[in-house]
Amino acid sequence: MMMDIALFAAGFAAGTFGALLGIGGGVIVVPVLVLFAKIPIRIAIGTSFIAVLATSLSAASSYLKKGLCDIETGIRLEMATVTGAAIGAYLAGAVNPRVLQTAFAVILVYVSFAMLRKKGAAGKQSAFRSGLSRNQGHVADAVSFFAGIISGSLGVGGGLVKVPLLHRLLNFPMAEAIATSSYMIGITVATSTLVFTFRGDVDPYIAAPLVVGIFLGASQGARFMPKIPEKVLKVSFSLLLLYFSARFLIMGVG
Amino acid sequence: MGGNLDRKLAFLFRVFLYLSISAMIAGKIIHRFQSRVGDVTVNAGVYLIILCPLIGLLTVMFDSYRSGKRKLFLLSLAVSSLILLIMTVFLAAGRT
Repeated sequence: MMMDIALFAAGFAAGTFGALLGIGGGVIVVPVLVLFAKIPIRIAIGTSFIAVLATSLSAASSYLKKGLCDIETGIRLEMATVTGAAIGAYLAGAVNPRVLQTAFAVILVYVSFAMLRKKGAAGKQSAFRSGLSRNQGHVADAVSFFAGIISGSLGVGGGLVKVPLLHRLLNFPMAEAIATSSYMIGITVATSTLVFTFRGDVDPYIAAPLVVGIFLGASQGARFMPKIPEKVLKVSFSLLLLYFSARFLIMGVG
Repeated sequence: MGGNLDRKLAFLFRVFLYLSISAMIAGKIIHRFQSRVGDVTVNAGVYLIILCPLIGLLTVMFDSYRSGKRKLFLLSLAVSSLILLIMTVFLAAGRT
């Protein structure tokens, strides 16, 4: 029972931060499960996928209602992302857990710095429907494949790769880049989760309180959003991620 | 506001999410009295949430077929087939 309450609280915190900062929550859930609940990293990654899926579906549902998702471009890029996710999920089961811990530490450092540089979701909200040129398509496929590998192997959504790809390379307005990325994350993470589930690396009893916490936390986060200064939030979250990263690095290398 | 397909997908995602969360909570409670039934219910919740984006893909596929959007139909068919192929390979690998 105490474990359930702790997991619910962790999910709630991840959901709140996720909503405040526009991330899926995997970068919080995996460290909490590994460092505090002492769950093996593979199970933590597999279970984190369920939490990321809940966040992604909830966000995508709202964005779809507003007509912000470019479904065609999203599905087009998913060809590469899904392939990368399956390879990443396979690699996560094949490599030494220490390699995963070190890779996760590196990703946390990247997310931490990317978070500080990230601008808000403000931007043109016009309906945007894109067509990819051949060159854009090749680069976008390569980046999507890379995002899939990261997502599939480390239990994160990969939004911090997908959003810049859509916004900078494919010239999506920021709001539509975030919306399309949320839709894409659902498909990518579902594929990775299937691989982890077949391997027995998902614990439904850990996932249940986490998902409920994330779901409720996300709605609270959206409510608190206007009250907390963005800079304070970003700096404190980045420091937290750097702390997690240091702990993972010590576990992985030490 | 979103189009017809967007609204269908939004509704589908929300329904599956609520069903999945309800099943997970119910499963955790039932597990205290009937562990087997609790296990099945929690697992059903997990599978509901995993299958939701894939059912969304099938919805896109059928909707685009009916409305004559050939490119979107082919894309969704290709991604669905790819996921099915990945599922088959990993399911087979798990059995051997």
